[in-house]
Amino acid sequence: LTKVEDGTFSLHKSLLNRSNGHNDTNTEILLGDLDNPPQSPSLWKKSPDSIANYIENKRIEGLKEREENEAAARDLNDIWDSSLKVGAAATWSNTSQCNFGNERYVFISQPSIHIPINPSLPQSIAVDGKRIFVGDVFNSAVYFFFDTNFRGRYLNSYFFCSRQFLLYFQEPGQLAMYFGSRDM
Amino acid sequence: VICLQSDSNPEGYKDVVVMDEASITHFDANGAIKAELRQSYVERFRGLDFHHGYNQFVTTEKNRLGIKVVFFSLVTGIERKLNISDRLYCPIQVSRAKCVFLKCFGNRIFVTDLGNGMILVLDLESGSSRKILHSNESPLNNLMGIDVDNYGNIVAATSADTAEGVSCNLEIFDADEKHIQTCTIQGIKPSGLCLQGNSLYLAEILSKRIDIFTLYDKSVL
Repeated sequence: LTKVEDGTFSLHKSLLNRSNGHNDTNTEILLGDLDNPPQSPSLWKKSPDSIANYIENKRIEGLKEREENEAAARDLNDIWDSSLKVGAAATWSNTSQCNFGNERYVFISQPSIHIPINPSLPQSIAVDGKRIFVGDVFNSAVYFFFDTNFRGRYLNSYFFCSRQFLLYFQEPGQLAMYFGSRDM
Repeated sequence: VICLQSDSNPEGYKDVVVMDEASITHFDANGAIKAELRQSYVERFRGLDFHHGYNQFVTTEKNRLGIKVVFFSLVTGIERKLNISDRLYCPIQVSRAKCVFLKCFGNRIFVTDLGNGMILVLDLESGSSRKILHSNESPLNNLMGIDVDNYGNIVAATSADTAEGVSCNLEIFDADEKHIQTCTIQGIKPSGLCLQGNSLYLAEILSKRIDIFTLYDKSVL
């Protein structure tokens, strides 16, 4: 739909004029009014050199814009900048002195530490020197051991809200423990 | 539950961080609360570790589209999420995926997938992710625990139920994530693993105990 404002059909005339060219006599007759021919874009009036410069400038601007957009897109996926990556590697620390890749090493079993809570489902375990912490997802508790001695619940006054769990057999004779949260 | 070096007393006992269904709480060595994140999205988190380089906690979150590694702070909440499952060369079955344990080492993050029986690796340096499998490409059965030694070797605790009884298989991968050996320990079903000093600690689910193994150099014995 074309909006007609004053009956002169100026938009129609300009479009026809542009598409058919200026020397179409039929168009001149049809249009009847070429006193005010449509303005050509200013770019067309420039010299070929300036047009070439314009195109080159636009190309460079486009490249810059693309680089910026690509960098922004990369940033969405990348975690951090390179300086932080270097820092991450440099500040890494590990409490393990084992080398499991060395075949000369052998495992020697040490006395086990019994968890005197039943029923219980020990799961995650963390060790800090003589301190051992074991999470129990059955009783919503973290157990604390010091120097292999059971010291009860860690922070007995603090209530931990464990995930619910379920036990089921994947196959006959095979026991597996899965959490029962709805989105797992 | 994880232990973290205390920023106020690096030489003393470590801080303790506990993630439960509703919150993540950071206790100091004396049990006082240093920080706490109590948000509804915490219930979706699975696995916890702390990335010392980025100074942020890391966990995983799963939805129907995939698995994301989540970086967060106890002060500011979630900082960033990275999809680990959609960049895999051979996609995993997301509906089966059950991420339980997570371990950071350098610029890599290892996530155990109990459901698919594999370890997922997010490489932060290259921005890629991949899977770690057994050398025979069979899934890791009952994958319940992972840790990395100081040399970058990965230790994964798995178990198998056979006619002879249950056995724990410690699957060892080198720093290039190639499977190098399996250490079998009869009568143990691990549900958690931790390396400390020259010892390996296993939470044992059947007999409700903590099993400790020390590594010795055979040439010294």
